[in-house]
Amino acid sequence: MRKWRSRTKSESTNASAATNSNLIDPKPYKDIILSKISCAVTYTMLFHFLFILLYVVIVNHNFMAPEVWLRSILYSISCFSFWIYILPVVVLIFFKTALSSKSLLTKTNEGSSTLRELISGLSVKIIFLVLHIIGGGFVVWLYLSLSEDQYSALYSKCDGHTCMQEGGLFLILNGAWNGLYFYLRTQSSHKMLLFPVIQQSKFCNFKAEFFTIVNESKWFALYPTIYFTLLYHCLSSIVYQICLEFGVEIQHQQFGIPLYFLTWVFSTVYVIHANVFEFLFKLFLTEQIRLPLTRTDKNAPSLADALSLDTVPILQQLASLDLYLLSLWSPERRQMLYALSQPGGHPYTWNQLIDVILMLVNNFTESLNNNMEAISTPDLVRPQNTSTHKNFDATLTTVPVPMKYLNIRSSQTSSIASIAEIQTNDSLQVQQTIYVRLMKILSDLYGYFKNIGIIKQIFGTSKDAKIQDILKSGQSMELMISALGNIVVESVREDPYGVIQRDVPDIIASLFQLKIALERLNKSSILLKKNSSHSSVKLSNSVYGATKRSLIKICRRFRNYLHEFNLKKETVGQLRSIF
Amino acid sequence: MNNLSIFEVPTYGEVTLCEVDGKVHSMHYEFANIAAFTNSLETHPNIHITPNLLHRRSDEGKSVFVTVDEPFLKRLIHAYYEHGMIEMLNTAEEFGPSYLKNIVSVVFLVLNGVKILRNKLTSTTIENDLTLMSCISHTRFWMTSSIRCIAWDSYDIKIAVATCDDAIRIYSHNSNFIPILKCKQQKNITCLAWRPFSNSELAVGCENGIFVWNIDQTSMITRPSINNASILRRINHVPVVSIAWSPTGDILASAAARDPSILIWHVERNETSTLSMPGSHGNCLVKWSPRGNKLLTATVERVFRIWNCETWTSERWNVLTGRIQACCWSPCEGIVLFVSNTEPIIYALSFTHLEMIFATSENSATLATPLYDLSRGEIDGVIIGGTVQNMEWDPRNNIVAVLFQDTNYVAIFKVTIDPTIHLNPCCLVAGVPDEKPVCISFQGNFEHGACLSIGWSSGRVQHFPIVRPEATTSSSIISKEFYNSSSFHNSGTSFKSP
Repeated sequence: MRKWRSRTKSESTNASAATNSNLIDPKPYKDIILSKISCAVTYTMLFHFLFILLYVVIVNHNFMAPEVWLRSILYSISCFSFWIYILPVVVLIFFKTALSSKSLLTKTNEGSSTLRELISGLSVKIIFLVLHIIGGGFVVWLYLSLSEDQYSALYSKCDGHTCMQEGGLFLILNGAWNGLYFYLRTQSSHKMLLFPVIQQSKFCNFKAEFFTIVNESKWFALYPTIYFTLLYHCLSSIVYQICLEFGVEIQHQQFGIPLYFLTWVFSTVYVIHANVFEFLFKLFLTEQIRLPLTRTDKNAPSLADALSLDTVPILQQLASLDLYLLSLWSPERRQMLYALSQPGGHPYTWNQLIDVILMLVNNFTESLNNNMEAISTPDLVRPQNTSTHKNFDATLTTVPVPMKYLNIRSSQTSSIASIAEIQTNDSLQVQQTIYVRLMKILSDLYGYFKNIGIIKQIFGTSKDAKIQDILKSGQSMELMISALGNIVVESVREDPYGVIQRDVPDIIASLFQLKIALERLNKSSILLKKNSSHSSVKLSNSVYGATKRSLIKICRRFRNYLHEFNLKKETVGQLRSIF
Repeated sequence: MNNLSIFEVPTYGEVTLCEVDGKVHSMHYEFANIAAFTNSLETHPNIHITPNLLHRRSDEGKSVFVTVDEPFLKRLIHAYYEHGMIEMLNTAEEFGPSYLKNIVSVVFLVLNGVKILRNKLTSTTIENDLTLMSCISHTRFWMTSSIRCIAWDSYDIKIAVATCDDAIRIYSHNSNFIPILKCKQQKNITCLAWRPFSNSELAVGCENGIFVWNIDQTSMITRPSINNASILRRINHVPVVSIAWSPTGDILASAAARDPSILIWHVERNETSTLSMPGSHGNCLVKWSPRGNKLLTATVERVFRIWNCETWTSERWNVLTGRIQACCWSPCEGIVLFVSNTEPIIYALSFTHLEMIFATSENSATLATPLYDLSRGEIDGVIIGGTVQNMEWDPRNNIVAVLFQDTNYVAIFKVTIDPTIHLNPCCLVAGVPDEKPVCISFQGNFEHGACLSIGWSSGRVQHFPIVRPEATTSSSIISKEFYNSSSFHNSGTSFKSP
């Protein structure tokens, strides 16, 4: 193995890489993401338009006179009201996209208190909920407006005055109910943007998933329709009363199977719209982007730069995906990793990349360990025992060191000189002691109140939540670790200078530490608690599986050289038991 | 095209034991002792699934208890929980009051009507799940055989044996400890696959979905609970008849006989991506190429596809009649051999030389090469050959084993790839008289050459080593050989051009 410069300590690596991430301008990356989001919005609107068009074609059907049929379709589309009807849906899509993008483009604050999280989360959730309810109602209203049947107009003339049709009201209320139900069932908890298992082309992916979406939506919409129908019939008198209070009279209608069927159809249509929005959003945002391996200019940062950019989570995930796909399918790009600089002959590209990856892996391990230790060990800050003796000791330790030994005469001249100062500052010393004691009492009180159960719950930061926050980067961690394993294994055949081999011990050590941390996490009760999200458990398992596979791959490939690596004996022993 | 007549038939009453240095050894079954010829199997586990080892899920246990009169409702609930909806309806029809009998008979009429309608619409016969699984399975006598399938771990000397009692037994070298993987939901196992680079994960395809068992190697628990398994299930994706891990072990592909889509699973996240195959009614086979660049998927009709795993685009192929029954990739993944369930001919497809599969129509092959005629025939009074049940290619050597549907010998071929692909007869493996081979699997990490494990109808698992003089134990040489195998290629001239 050819030796390069001795590897820097991980601390310095971390520091340099962290500094590097602060220096990177995320703007060019954000532009990439914004273009993806705009594509998603455009295609969502296009899909909505085509779906509405299909509806117009169906409701205007006239098999006996195709010409009339065509004319009526063209008339419907060219009508100004058609576009006016669509406008609210477009606005809703924009709002939903803006809210959905927020969590992807900004990093969540890990240290924020439960209360702050609740307030910030609640505001977004309420807006989302309102959007879903309005969206549900709007979609049904839009479809009803475009049809020519009895429910097309919500108001009609009855006995000389305007009154509301019960059928139409029933359908629109059902739409709003569907929005609520859909939100509560699918959107209320924090959802992660998970990458598809395989990277198919967008069209193939859409083709493969669309019919599944339609099928699932059909069944999903059945339950809220049934619930709403039952609820409406139980509470219809309240609905009439509310309408009357607003001065709206309701024209009662006979409810029959056709209306119930129509209700289910509109529910299905809404759920399809909502699911397709989610799907297209995911489809565009999770599409692979190819990042350059070396920084060519300031506006085109490299893969390593993108990986270190943890302030924009989606970019870090996309960079991890690019690295993973590179490790699987791009021998040409891998060759660039092994390349040496000219002149100088240094593997800058690889060094930059591995520094960032190891920093991220080590930070992830460290965060997990720290938080698990905090959970496993009892809280150090407990309400203090206020016995005099302890207070005395505590006070002693809090007095500044130079003051503690003022009564001891020093042979040095400077100390003799200071005695005068001590005598003159007697009153000041007393004041300071009182101040220190007061501060101590206040801090004790603060500690006491802080540890009262309910206050701790509201204003403190939950350790479980912290671990779940850490695990949010689990997807990119999994991809990076898998990629690392693949690259190291492939390097045996591909790397002509042994660039990668130099870092194998560090990689093994980092992965092994991570494996141990994840084993501890899986054995601990944190992920087994009822309130721990299911996705956290899955992510923890995914990262653990990827780490274990990468370790096995690397160790099997280098099994004859493990003893030559500068690894602890116990580590080598444990590694041998793994593979 | 060669045929089976050039094979040498084993003597009746003799068990074929091994091939050492090119010489096939056999002995009378009463005195059979492989140690007389080779010590390469010293650490291999002896496996014999005897009837008393099996714990059948049938009503055998019930016979020990005195039958009691149960209330009708309780009986219905029991029937539903133990045998499902149809059995509950049958119970209602048999023991229920007259009005219920009438309702149930109407329900049965409607169900039959739907079935007939589906038959007419799909133009294929709707078979019972078990019949369908039995037809598609790579195991001969799948329904009745005590061994349902076997699978070797690719790294350790560890073999998983699925039996007809819906249990899987894990046998390891130098260990008498045999973990049994069994749970209530795991019914009618069709396929097994060890996860690469995991040592401890085994995927099991069965009637209800896929179970990925995580076996703790350090644990001494004989019956790991269901908590050690992840259940991968989708409503329409049943019955699972074929599964394959990607060679990196990251993802799992599965085919279900009644689902037109192939699912690619991320096991830990329980998430799937779908490979849609419009026009098909179900799939019967998934097989990943050794380096993971290509994936072969076959439908229950004539169509099969070869996917490029980088772009996930596919090339569509048709067999002349029937459907693909079995296929195998060469270690260099340049060649795939396949057989249909109706034609006793091994076909070959090559895409090493010109990357034919994904090349333009001008230079790509449109016809597979018929390679070997396996037609049923008689040699010295012994019937061999016929349509194929399963075919396997040793992961590290150019040796192919073929298991037939109706005849009782396993044919072994040696393959030459350079300059053109050619199958050379090696030997026919015979078991004890009256024993029939039911399933086969190569041990991927056999250091002395190749080792084929054959499950016999008697419940015995035979390890048939093909020991080569030049085989070395050095892993570096083995891996070198494996990676250099990419230099093998087939001449494009052996394929018919359009």
